[in-house]
Amino acid sequence: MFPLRPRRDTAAQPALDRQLGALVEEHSQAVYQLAYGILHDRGLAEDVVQETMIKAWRSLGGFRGDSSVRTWVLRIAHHTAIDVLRRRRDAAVAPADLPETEGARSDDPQARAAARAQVVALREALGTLDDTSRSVVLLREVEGLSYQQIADTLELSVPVVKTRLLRARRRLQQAVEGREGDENDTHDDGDEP
Amino acid sequence: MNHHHHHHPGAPGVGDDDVGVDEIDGAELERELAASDAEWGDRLRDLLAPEDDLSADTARRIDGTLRQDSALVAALDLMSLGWRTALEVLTDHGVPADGDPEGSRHG
Repeated sequence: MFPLRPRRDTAAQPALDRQLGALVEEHSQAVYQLAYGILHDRGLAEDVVQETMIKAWRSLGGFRGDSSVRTWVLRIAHHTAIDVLRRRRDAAVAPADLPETEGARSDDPQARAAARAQVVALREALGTLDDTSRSVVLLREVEGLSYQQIADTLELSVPVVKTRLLRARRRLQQAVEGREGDENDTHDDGDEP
Repeated sequence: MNHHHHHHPGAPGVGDDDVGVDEIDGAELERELAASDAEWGDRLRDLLAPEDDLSADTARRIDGTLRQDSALVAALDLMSLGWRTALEVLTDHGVPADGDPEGSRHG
């Protein structure tokens, strides 16, 4: 059976079908984070959440329980997001879509700029990964899935998951360090009389 | 070893090939993975955090979509019923049920 808890009924939420409501309650955040990591666009990520939930709800009857519901839903989300990405591959990313991190809300302009630069660097670094490696990183780092769960979700072998994860982490590290180095150089130049 | 190849055209970058599976020594792979396991989670979660009301918002959007779908189905049903009704009405008035060309005027 599905490990779905009954949905919390709140005045803000319409009375969806109980199972659909439970899917939304349990998995929408994980799906959103995966989709946003792949697409870099909040609006598209929200579309993917909606589409994934409806697809999963309509396919619940065919769910065999071979994997966890979370893994199954994330697999649907991954495919849905990749489909959207392929259609929108060349779409530009609006800078206004960058999230506000804690540092970005700081009163200190330099701290705000540094936080913003880090967000940009991380996003750009994510963008250098291929689609599958990016999903491996997101499922591991953000969702905390095991290597086996990631392998099940993305239909890869565990060794491939591990290798892709390690290479992706190295790539992220290089990209962020490179960016920070550039930032420091810029600041150093600016301090020159 | 099971090597799945997932190449997406137009998405060059690290991991495009799976050659590296055997390139990195197993022990080194495990060691480096373990050492870097806690490095990116917080930063990426921060980067990708949704708005607070994501669940409620999603439920609202899905509800709207499903209502639209169901309204569309209802409209199609109504159209179909309308045609059938119209056909029924036309049939009743055009040809008497008993086949008598004079119809009920012979009462």
